Amino acid sequence: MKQRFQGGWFLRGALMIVLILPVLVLVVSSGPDKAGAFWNSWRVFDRYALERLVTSIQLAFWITFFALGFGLIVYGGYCGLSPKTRPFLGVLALLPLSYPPFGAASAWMIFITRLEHPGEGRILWDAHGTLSRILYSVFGGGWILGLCLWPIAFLLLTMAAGPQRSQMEAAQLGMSRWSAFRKVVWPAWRMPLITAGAVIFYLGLLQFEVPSLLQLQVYPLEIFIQFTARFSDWSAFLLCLPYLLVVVPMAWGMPRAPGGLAIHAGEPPYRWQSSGLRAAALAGTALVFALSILVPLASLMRHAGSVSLMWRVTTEHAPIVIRSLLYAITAAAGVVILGTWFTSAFNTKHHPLVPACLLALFVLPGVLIGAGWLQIRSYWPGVQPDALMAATLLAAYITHTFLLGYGAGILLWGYYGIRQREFDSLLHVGAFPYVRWLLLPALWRPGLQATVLVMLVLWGDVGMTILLYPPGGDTLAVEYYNLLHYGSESRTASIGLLLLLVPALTLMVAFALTARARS
Amino acid sequence: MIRQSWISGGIAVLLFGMVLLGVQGCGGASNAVTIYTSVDRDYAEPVIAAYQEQNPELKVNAIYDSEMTKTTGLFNRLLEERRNPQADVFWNSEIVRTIQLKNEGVLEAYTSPAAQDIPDQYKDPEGYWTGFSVRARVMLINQTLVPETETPASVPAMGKDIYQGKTAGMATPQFGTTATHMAALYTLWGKERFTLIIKTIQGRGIKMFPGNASVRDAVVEGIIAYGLTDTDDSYAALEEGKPVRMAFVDQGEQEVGTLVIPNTVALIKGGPNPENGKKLIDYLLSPAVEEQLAQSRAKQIPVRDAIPRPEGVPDLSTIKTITVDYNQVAQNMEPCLELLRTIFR
Repeated sequence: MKQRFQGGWFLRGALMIVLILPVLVLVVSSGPDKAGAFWNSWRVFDRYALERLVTSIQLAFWITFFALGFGLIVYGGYCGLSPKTRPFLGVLALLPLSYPPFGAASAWMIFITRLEHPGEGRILWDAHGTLSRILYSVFGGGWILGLCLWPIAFLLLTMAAGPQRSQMEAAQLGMSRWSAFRKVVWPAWRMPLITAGAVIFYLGLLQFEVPSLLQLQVYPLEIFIQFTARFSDWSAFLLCLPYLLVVVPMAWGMPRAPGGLAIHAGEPPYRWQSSGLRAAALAGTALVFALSILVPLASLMRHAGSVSLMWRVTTEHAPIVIRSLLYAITAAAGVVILGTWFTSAFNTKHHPLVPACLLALFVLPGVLIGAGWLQIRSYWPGVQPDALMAATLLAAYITHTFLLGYGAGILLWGYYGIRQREFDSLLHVGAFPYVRWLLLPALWRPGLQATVLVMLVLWGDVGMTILLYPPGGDTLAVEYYNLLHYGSESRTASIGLLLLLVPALTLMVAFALTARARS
Repeated sequence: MIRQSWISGGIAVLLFGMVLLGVQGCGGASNAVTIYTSVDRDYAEPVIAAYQEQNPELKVNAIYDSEMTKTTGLFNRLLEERRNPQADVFWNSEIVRTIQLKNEGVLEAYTSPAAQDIPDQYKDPEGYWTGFSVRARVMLINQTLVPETETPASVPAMGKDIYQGKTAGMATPQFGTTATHMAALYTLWGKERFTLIIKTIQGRGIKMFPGNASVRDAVVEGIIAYGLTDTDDSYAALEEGKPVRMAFVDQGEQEVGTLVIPNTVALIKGGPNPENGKKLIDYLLSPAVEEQLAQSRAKQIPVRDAIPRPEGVPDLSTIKTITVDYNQVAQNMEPCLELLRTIFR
């Protein structure tokens, strides 16, 4: 029986080409035109680049260490809550993801500066005190980014089929605590922790903005130098190859790997029985939230100074906030809608090249995708209208994050159910009524949530935006990132607060809307 | 049918967003001029706003650069847009990248009538760029840490003198005016001598910062005793009454002098509104703008003698400056950056 949305490979292929086009254009236009120059260009992989790669690996190790640790602590708190209150913690856990990591880093830098130099009005960029020395190191970078990325570990743990109550109760009857952990808890945690660890480690290798604020010479700095100091798109692309060489085979192989990450259905995970254990787990959770949300918030609020200044900055920046939201939400909606269409009737086991390509686009630095779209845009004859400039920025956003739309699409169709789709194929209704009366009522809630999550990723983008925004059309993240380098003053901190609060509020509103609709 | 509905739904969302974003934006008018500028927004914005006020019929679109990428972000944008330029004017806070753009064929020659009284050393003989309002490289010194009797203002001697345990600092040399300064010294000293001196400085453990503004802040706070930065950053600290003093670098008899870095303005080849671009260039090169920049917090030094200087801003003729061909500096930028990459790692 033929399901709806099957076929259409021509359109899907066309979309894939559009997505890959900026990279192709960049490579073709910047590649060396002579064989000698081609082989010479590989000399970018010298020992200095390798030294920076080692620093990136060290940083990624600490990020993974902290993120998994914090994720496990919060998961402990999650298991201490009743099933009714758990969803709230799930939403709260998205907050650290909603703030661009460089914003969190700036808040920590202000915090430490204030601790060591009370009354100082700017960030001081140097390891001049004990705490600063710790902060301005791979360990400090790992700490800050760990506090931003732990929700990945937490969310994967909550999504996975964790230790169930029945299993734990059975284990407690006849096993020691260690045996229960080894035989029941660890097997349930292993896959989500390994997956989260791999994802976080990989994201750690890609980090540029936070290490650059902390004066760390990381591998992506090499890419940045090639692109913005030596203006060699080709060398920058070559330096990205190690990333691609790791992820593309991974993306190819993962769908074929046996086992994998089992998503739990039905029975909620085990709840701690011991009240002491519950209290300890909740205290740990509160501490992680305090470090990842309250410290940046309080640090920026204190640095921002008076409420009147904050209010003035907020009203002055209302247009730029609206514009930034529009960019991020429009692109995120595009990603989710196109991703949902794209993944209908899709089988990753049959088409492993597609996720591999999308993953490659996700891990390429945004500036390279931005540069590719900038070149494509330059084919437009004559003066480029603002709408075209905005459209190319949105296209770059979609290109970079389409992997997330692809993932969202697979989850949304899974949520809708194969049986329901088979049933739908028997209905003789037009396209509009089908979407309006069947798909939308079923999918708008998870679709909206997925859109907001993609929006959070795009909200803090600097690399693509800085190359593509139309005149007078920059975003809050770009403005904050610029001002940060002048030494953060009260006004800058107020903008940083907006950068933190706007996505948090958007997230809360979206989830409140969906929760209300569900009730 | 259904597929079309999904596609059209997606396209509708995208178009809706784009229309709103188009409304939000401000360019696109035919009677417009677009300027890309790497000058600090605090200083460039009032100048551009004044021009907009004088020409209400004209839509002036400006794109500013980031302090982090300083000049180079816009440089990338201009290079990538070469096929169909969207900017009319590039107002650069320094000179070497402008020369590189000329060499890349991005610029159009234009000799502005407003530049007649600008000294020739600040003008491209072929008319591709014109310089005005200079900044100079200075050593900002913490008065509390460094005694009045000492002025550690030599670049080769940086880090040699330690004051109360505090050393010297500079901005990451791959970017901004520090990169230009390094390339000028590379040109002047030659590769071997430059390598020796810079390796010696690096070996003394001087501290690195992301930009000149952060060097200034570190000196003000006493994290470092003295730091290599620009006049505009230093004047800002002096204006705030911070306990610092400023000295132009390498002013000794045997020393090479400081590097003066003019703002440069250039017309973009094939830009959408060349005539409006020329008018904007004429305005930027006018004495009024030089005076405005001199009177700003940055206290940029006018290249015209007749323009009044604020208190504390010296005449350029009283400063010993590096005599170097800016075109050669631009040529040496690439090998110099490569060398610096291997030293500061």
